[in-house]
Amino acid sequence: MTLGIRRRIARTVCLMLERLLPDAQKPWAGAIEAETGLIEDDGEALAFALESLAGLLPWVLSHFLMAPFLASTSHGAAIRPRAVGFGCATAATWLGIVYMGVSGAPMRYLISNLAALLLGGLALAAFGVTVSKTPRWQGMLNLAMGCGLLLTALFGYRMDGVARWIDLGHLLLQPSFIFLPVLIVSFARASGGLSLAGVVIAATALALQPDRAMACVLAAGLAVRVATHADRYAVLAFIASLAAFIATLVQPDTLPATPYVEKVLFAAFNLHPLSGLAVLGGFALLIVPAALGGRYDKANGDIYLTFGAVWLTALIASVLGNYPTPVVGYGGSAILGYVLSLWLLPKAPSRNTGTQAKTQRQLQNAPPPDRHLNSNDSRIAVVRAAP
Amino acid sequence: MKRNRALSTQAHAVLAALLAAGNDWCHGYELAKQANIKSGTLYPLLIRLESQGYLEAVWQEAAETGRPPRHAYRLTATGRQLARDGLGETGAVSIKSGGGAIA
Repeated sequence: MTLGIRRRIARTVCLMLERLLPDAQKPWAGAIEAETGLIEDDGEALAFALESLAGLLPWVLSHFLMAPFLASTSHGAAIRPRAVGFGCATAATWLGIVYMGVSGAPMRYLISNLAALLLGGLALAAFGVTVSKTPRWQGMLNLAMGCGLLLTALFGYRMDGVARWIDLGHLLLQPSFIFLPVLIVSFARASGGLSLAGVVIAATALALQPDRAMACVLAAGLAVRVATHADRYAVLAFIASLAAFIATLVQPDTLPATPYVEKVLFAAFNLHPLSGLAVLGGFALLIVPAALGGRYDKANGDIYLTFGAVWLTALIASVLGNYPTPVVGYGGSAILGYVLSLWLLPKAPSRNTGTQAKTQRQLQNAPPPDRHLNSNDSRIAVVRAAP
Repeated sequence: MKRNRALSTQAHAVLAALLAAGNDWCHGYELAKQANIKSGTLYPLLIRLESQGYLEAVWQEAAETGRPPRHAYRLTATGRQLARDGLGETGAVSIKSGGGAIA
């Protein structure tokens, strides 16, 4: 290899670095190019450029991996909760599928979960552009969902005296897992007379079934609402949910655990520690949108907190009792419910408070942690002069 | 909340080189030589230091005509304090943050 070729390769590497690095780090590619150009020895210049490329590759990878989850705003980059949530739902569903596949679950279980994820994704995309989220419309939707739950409790598919499903031939849907998370997050966004009526009807339906897990989910979600906005609608809705939960506690719930649906976490750990960890990882992923939203969009923190409380309670209930394991276990209803509840998360940070401005800039500018500084400082200071 | 965490020897070496330079501007290639580290280690460190306000980075016009501008670095006041704190300790360098989240 001649010296001229080495120099040309070094320049190409620098140009490649400039193309690959995110905008905020592009000046550093220029800095490396300038230094490389000043090194007399061609071989040394090539080594300098190649080592720089290798060292900054984590920035590049991080940029490409995070790009689908970041939205551009006038203040920089902001997290896209729905995209993050759908990514988490997809990963959690796949972790569940891996567990079920390894443990010998029927193939239709795996296909059913994937189909629900696909359907949920399509519905999320469609709702995002077609369905209005005005408080009045949301109130009507909440009322309709409450009525749907009551109709299911009264006329739904019955098993051991419990009616909480809709029979679709080869498929049993659990409307409470689809509607209730949506209803609770929707109520957190806009409580009002219609929404309150929807919640009270839903609470009645849960008390009739009886469904302790979902009644507890409703109470937990509304407790967050009361803690963050204690208006009369929130207090009344919480009282109704608490009454429903108490009603479910005093009624016998004799349904046994169904393989791959309930007690999934323990079954996975019994199979192999790795499958247990996969299921646990799926659990953690379901909370990620709430954690990220609460961190980066403090103006809507109450909505993320409600979303997190809903799904964390459902997960805890699935570990403690014979209740379905959301998303990771077999059951398309929870997958649909999870993805649809993402629809009610804010699209992007709504107001640019000081904290938000800082965190948005952090997202755009902050490099990923490196092993030499091990730092996660939240402070950002820009003292860079333009070329 | 304050947290201390040990830095790598490479970070230690870069901070020492920058501190020794004082108010003079340093350049990437020389820094890598002085600290005896590869450029792939140096630049992520410089980016991190700059993003946290410990490092000033400016573009300087070359003294000779026809040469491209060069990126130059020196520690800020907080950066110098950070380096002194770290270098003052035996064994490992540590970063102390008033802001809380730094490791």
